[in-house]
Amino acid sequence: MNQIIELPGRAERAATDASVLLDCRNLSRTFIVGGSLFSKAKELRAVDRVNVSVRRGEVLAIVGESGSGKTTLGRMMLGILPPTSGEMLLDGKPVSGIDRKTLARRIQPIFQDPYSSLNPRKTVAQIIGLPLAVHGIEAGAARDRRVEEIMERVGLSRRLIHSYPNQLSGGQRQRVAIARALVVQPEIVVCDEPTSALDVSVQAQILNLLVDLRNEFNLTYIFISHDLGVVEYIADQLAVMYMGQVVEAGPRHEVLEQRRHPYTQALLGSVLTPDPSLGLPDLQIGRGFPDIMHPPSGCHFHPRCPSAMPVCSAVEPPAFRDSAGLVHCHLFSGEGSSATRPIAQ
Amino acid sequence: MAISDINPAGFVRGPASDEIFEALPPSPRELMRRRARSHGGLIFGGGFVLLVVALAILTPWIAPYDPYNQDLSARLIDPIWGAKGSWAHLLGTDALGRDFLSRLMYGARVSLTISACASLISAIVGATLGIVGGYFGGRIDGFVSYLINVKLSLPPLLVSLSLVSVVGGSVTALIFIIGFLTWDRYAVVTRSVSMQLRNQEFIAAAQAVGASHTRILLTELLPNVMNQIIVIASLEMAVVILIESVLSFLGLGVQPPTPSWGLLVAEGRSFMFFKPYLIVIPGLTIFLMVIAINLAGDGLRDVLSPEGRN
Repeated sequence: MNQIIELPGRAERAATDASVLLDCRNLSRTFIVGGSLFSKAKELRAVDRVNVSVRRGEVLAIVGESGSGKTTLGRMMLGILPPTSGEMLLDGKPVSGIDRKTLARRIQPIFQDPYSSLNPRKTVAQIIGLPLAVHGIEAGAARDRRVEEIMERVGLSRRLIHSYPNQLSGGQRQRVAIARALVVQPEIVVCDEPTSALDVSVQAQILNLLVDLRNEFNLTYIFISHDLGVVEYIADQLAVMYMGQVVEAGPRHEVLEQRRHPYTQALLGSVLTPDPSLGLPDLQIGRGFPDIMHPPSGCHFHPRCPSAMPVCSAVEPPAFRDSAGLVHCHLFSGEGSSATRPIAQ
Repeated sequence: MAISDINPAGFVRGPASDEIFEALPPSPRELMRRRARSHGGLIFGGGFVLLVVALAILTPWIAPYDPYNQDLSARLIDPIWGAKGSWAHLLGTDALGRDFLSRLMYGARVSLTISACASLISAIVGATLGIVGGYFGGRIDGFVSYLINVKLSLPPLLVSLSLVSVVGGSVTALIFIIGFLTWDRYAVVTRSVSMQLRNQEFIAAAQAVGASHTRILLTELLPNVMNQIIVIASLEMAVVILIESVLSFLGLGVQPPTPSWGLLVAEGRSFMFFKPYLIVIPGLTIFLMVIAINLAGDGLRDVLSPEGRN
């Protein structure tokens, strides 16, 4: 694991500034699906009692397969989707008590698809200037100057200022989205799979840009992704989600190294390699993603878990917490079995 | 295997690719201009409409006679191509000796004013309902859908007939009645477009910035449905002209002696068998105008939103 590229300043920052900036407590979001005269509405638990927190200046990566609730969690953090229950604390104060505009200046998003995240009828200047207009920051020439400054900072040529999104490449579009997020100088940026819609070569540029900007503006990232290579590169903390719940969380190094939850093992084992002779990875968890409308009893992962025990289908696993982080699994509940559990490689 | 092995080698720190000398692809406006230039229907239809509108605007200065001025010594003179035609009255005169060309030109002013204002009202009403319903969804959308269904079940001609017979046929009344009876198509289209746009990430980005709903509706959604509104407006305009003509023809629209195209047809009805030009000329004008507007509307659709073709 020593090949992991260390980010500049990571160690110092973790040592000096360890205050929790954003703290999600028992955050849940339920969607009501269907429901008409003849059929009863059903509840979909997209996010289920999630506890995650991120310290100032750190990068919290949230990983999980499609449908695990990552994006819903991100939208709640942005304040565009109210949580059904639970609360979020920003700097120790509940977010629900913070005015929407004030919150918007502190938390900003970067979305996955730069083709749908930019209004096709607006110029780059209007798109990046929108947050300034909404918050009444600067006007006229001063606003244009500010837009130009941030464009320069994210590596966009100034002559693109009056062009439309359809004239830009995917990487340029994502730079516009980054500029729009950073123009109000937020503290937290929620990056919802910011590189997954881009070419691999462009992904690297955008990731490096995000890392540079983080160091320059002392940003805190919530980095939602299913690309483990990217996560390994950028994250400080890691939370693994499965069916709306966090199954394992902790410092990136510990989670990637120890892989205590069987789902984490499967997820990390599913990474494709560039060498085709190795074939597809064998997951041993079956292919079927359970019906999210009817989550399995007990531990949601038990139907696919290679180490499932009778207790798994009956009792929801309690949280087990130690220096290496948090894990929700019966393998680690009771009798301190965690210390002796062999690490599957 | 350790995942660090598959860490992409491309994660090298370097300057962003320098695209300064690369030519930009054409802007949306430039693309529209290109499509418009090669569209025959738009050029012909739009040209005809613009010509008629220009003539209607300039009528007070270029019309040869006062449209209300009766000259009983010059009744029912044939147009210039007729047997007894004269250069004094290019399109002849009507039963009261009024110059028919002047009546037609002033009639264009009345008919076009009514159809333009009515289209504007229906566009504002329909687009507002459609955008609000599509964006907010839920109960608000349920209410908008209910209104649309109610409106769709009303036959516009029948309702306008009964309404006009109650409130009387002034130009203002016609504008409002027709305007409030033709907004359904705007609402249906803008609602479905807004529902698609609502889930786009740029709307979420605007929400995350703290933009108010009003701002999102006006500055994020509206520009994206504007093209559709323009296209529908151009097509609805033809329908409105027809409704106005029908109402005036039936005597429930514009009241004589004010000229309008439908009224000209109605006035010529009694002389239809021996002076057919009295209904052929205004009838042909209505026909050509409707065709031209439809051609222009089709062309606008092709130019403004080519995604919808085929």
